[in-house]
Amino acid sequence: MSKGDFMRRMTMAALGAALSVTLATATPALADFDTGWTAYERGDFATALKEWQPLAERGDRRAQFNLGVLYDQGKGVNRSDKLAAEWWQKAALNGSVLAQHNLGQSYIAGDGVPQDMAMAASWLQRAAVGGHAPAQYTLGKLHAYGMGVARSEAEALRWYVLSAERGNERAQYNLGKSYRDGSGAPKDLAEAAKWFRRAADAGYAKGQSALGQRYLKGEGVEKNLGEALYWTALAEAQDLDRAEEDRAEIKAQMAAADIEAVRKRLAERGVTLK
Amino acid sequence: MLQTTGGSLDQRERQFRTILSSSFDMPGIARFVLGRHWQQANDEQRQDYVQLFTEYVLQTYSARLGGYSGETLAVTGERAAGQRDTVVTTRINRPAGAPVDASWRVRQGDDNRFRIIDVEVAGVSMTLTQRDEFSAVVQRYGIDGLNEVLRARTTKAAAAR
Repeated sequence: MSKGDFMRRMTMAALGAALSVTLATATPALADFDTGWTAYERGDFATALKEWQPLAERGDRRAQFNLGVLYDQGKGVNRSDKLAAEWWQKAALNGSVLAQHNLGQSYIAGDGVPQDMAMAASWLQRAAVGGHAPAQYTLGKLHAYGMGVARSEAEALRWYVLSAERGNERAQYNLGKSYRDGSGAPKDLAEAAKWFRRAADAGYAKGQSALGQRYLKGEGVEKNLGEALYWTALAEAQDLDRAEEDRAEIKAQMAAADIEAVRKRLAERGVTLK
Repeated sequence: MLQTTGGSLDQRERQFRTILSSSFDMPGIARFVLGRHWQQANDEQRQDYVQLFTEYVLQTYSARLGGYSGETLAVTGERAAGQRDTVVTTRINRPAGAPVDASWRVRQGDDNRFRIIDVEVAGVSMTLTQRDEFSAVVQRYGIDGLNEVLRARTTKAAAAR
């Protein structure tokens, strides 16, 4: 056999081997992941673990992320924050934004890793840049409180805006507060009301209460006691502390017929006005 | 005997959560755990804290105890503790894995309802452990920081397809 022949054969063999490895990992990989997922949904975590573990070890970031969740919650395995963080770290390095987010949260909480706000900020930043709305919101909070990063209202606001626009209700509420109080943003009551409304519409109790207050005070919206009562009662139905007192105060200023109209509107949403 | 059966994983956890949520004195536990720092907190911080703490406890216990299908909780004993408390001991049997023994400290409230005020798993009290831990966090990062820590624990992304 000539040197050229030998090289050609080696190349073919290598290609063949590479191809068969690819097929071996690619084809069953899909099936295994889904089998694992179906088992997970059934509450059969032992099977989920069995399916995902080999995939995770071969570098599948979805399996790595889910394995982290199994360890975090002690499903099918003994609970271990440490192993959860280790799997999330692997998945995070492989570009899983969910894992980058969870690892960031682990560093904030000190779950399975030493509590380290700078590390938290750095992982959340990756997930935030990747467009993960909850990570964007949390990163905003770290900037607002100066945890692991320099304290900066402006930087906090920048992340709240991105998160709020992606529909994160907490970020919408915080953005409303920033515009209401002029913290990190120029004071703008109309803009504040707009974001409180977005959070309220999403069912976020603090947003509902804040929108009720806008209507009560006529700030950023036209004063309207009926709307004030409506939104405050929705917040109260979710056990928001201050809402009970606010609701009583608003009701005391309203005519009986107007209260009845609101009661009817609330009843349509299955909420009883107290 | 309490048993969560059938339904999806999500439904079983929700079922367990409802049971826990109506049986724990969450505001009382939350306040006890924060200790002297409660006085420093403003209204919004307190409200956020109680809400986040409640979520944290519910999530932790419903995920740890309610996730398995066919799981049963059996009461194994009961004894008086102090002037007004009762400790109920239970064993949680799981189809897979070793059984978990937990004791629940119960107190009668002003409304005459009995509510859980502490849980001991493997002899470790939830409230005392958390009190120490929270105090360290508050000293370093303040109440807002503690609230972020609690939120970090309760808002991890779930398993995904």
